Amino acid sequence: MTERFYRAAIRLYPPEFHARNGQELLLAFRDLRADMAGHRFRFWIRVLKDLAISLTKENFRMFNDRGIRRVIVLQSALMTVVVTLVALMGYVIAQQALRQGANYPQVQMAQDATFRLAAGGDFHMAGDDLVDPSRSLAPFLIVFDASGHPISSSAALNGKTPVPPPGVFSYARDHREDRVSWQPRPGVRIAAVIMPFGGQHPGFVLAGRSLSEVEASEQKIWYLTIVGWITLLFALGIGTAGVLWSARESKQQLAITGCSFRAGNKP
Amino acid sequence: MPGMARTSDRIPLTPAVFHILLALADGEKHGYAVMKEVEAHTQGRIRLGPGTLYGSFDRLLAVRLIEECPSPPNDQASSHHRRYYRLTAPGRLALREETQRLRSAVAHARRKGVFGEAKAERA
Repeated sequence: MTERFYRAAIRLYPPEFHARNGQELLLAFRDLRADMAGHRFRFWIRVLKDLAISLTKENFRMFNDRGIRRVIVLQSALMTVVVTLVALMGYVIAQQALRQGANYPQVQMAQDATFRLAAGGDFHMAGDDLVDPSRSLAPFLIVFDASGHPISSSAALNGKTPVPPPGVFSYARDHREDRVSWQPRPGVRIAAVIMPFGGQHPGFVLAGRSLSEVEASEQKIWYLTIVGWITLLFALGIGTAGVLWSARESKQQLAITGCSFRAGNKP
Repeated sequence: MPGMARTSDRIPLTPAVFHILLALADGEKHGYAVMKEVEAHTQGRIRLGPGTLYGSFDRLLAVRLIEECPSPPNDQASSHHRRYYRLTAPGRLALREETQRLRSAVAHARRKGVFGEAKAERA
């Protein structure tokens, strides 16, 4: 009966502890019972006191071990997500700032041209110094008629005036302006501002500029973002391993020196 | 590795750990023999129960102050095969350092007349 009670009680230890020490606990229990045969009451006080203290301690230790590890790992996972989001946000913000900056001075050029053209100004631009957006970063202007056919241009690509997709004109007509990045040919991307103008001969003005420098800057920012992200993740990994290590070390240290529970005979 | 920590980092030891190490100082013992010896050495002031003892063994094994060892031939023949433990070199060193720490504390207490000798000398 007494042994059956003790067998049941030691099943309340953490499973690993019970699997490792169950048989030894039982042997020690039998020895103690034999040695204290004439002191049944004192025997039970000692056994119950030991069970109460060691069951609490071992279960708390198991819970605490797993709990701390879980918190550290969860926190690291959260930090990984945060670091990744911050890196992505940083890249997107930098990219958008560069892209927005790429529309200047085209906005001003397009506005000036629409005022001039609406007031009956000259449609024609000098044809000698045409800008080639595949080789030059210089801004250029193209004037289109109301149906989107080019009338005059200060740019040429492969000897022809680059023409944006027709949807750009209808959007610009409806919203008084459209800002697009458009690829007239592979390897050439243009940041363009399109504005409609009225007057006797209504149409559209497109002010554009090659995005090659902006794209090169974007590429550099992308590389920097990737390098920064990997470095932070590496540092986070090292830090997490260090914290897990020190948590384990200090826990075992406390168990031996008992700095956290020095009282009495409790190790 | 946890076992690689300096022995001096583990000083002071808890009274129970100190007496467990002390019980193993003269050779390998099984758990109940350690329990009995600790109780005898401390005149019954430290009475380890089985759960407390094996919890301490687990932690001492983890930091390699003790290790399991083969049981002696007379026990191997027994039907109740027991696990035996002995001190490791770091365990012996930790025990020595703790003993020295206690000895110097006792010497200091003696110089301060805690035991009454200093007062007796003056009288």
